[in-house]
Amino acid sequence: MTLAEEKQLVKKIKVNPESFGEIFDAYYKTIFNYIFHRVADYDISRDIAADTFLKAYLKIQSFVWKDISVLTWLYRIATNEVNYFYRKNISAKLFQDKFFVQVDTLFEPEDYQSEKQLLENEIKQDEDYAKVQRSLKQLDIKYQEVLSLRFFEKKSINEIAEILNKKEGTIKSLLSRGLEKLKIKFNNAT
Amino acid sequence: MENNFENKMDNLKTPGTGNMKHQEILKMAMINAKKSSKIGLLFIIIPALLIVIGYIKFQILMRIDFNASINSLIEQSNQIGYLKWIIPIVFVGLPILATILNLLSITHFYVEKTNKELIISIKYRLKNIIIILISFIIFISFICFVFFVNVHFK
Repeated sequence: MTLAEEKQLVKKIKVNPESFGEIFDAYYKTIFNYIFHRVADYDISRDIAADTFLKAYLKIQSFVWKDISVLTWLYRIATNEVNYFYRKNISAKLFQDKFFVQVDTLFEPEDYQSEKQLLENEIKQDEDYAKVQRSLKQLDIKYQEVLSLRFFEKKSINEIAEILNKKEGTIKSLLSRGLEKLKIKFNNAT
Repeated sequence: MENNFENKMDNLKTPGTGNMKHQEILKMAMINAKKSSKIGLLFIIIPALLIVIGYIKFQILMRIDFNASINSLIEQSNQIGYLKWIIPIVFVGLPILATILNLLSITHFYVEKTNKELIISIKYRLKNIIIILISFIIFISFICFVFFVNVHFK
């Protein structure tokens, strides 16, 4: 979607909220992808993606167009949601989610089970990616967000600065330091 | 060495999300939940408004006992044709419709084929839940009122 098309769509949504479905259809996979790369858990990614789009849906009425893509805005919300997830008591949450995920998976329809298994198996098959993922999770959140946007989402410095609402210089600095720390974690990982 | 690692990261193959379908249910639930709560609100505003206006008119302005005026209205409904169907529609039908609409928007049904189970999950959405509760209260209040009026008369 071009910026002009997005601008028209935002105007349309303010009059007819159901048109938000077009944004959902256009960007859900991209945002879910980003969240899944950071969290590497299908069920948690679904929850976070749902929260991201729900917040966007509720806030879009007061969205002021500033020539920034809606996708950038969605990335921003998703980043905040993922960071919030990590800032909570991570071990307790992961345990709780894993436990309830196991209960839920007994009841999920077969389609969702296969979708979940497909995604999680893809991670396991690629050893390097899995190792990078594990190492990334050990870093501070400020490094996780810039590194995942740069290397998983292939965003430019400028785009990352827009998403995180930070200066380009700050992003470059975080990337440089983050990459150094990630390399150490990666080399020490089994 | 640093560049090697950066190149490795640049060339890292990331798993794709392929043909996902789960988002369709999420989309429907999200967009319909707001619509259902708006329609549901309309359905309960009508009976709620009638009760409030009736109370203000009879109890406060005309100083007639509100309960007595409701009893009289129910008695008259047997004689006046249109009241016979308007009262049940407004105080029973609309709240039930509001409850059903909002329940549908927050409940999800999954069929587990292997164990032949129907699983129902309810999403916590405050607005929809409040409307369901208010509809239920209006419906139950009216039913109880009619029941006790008839019991009293017997």
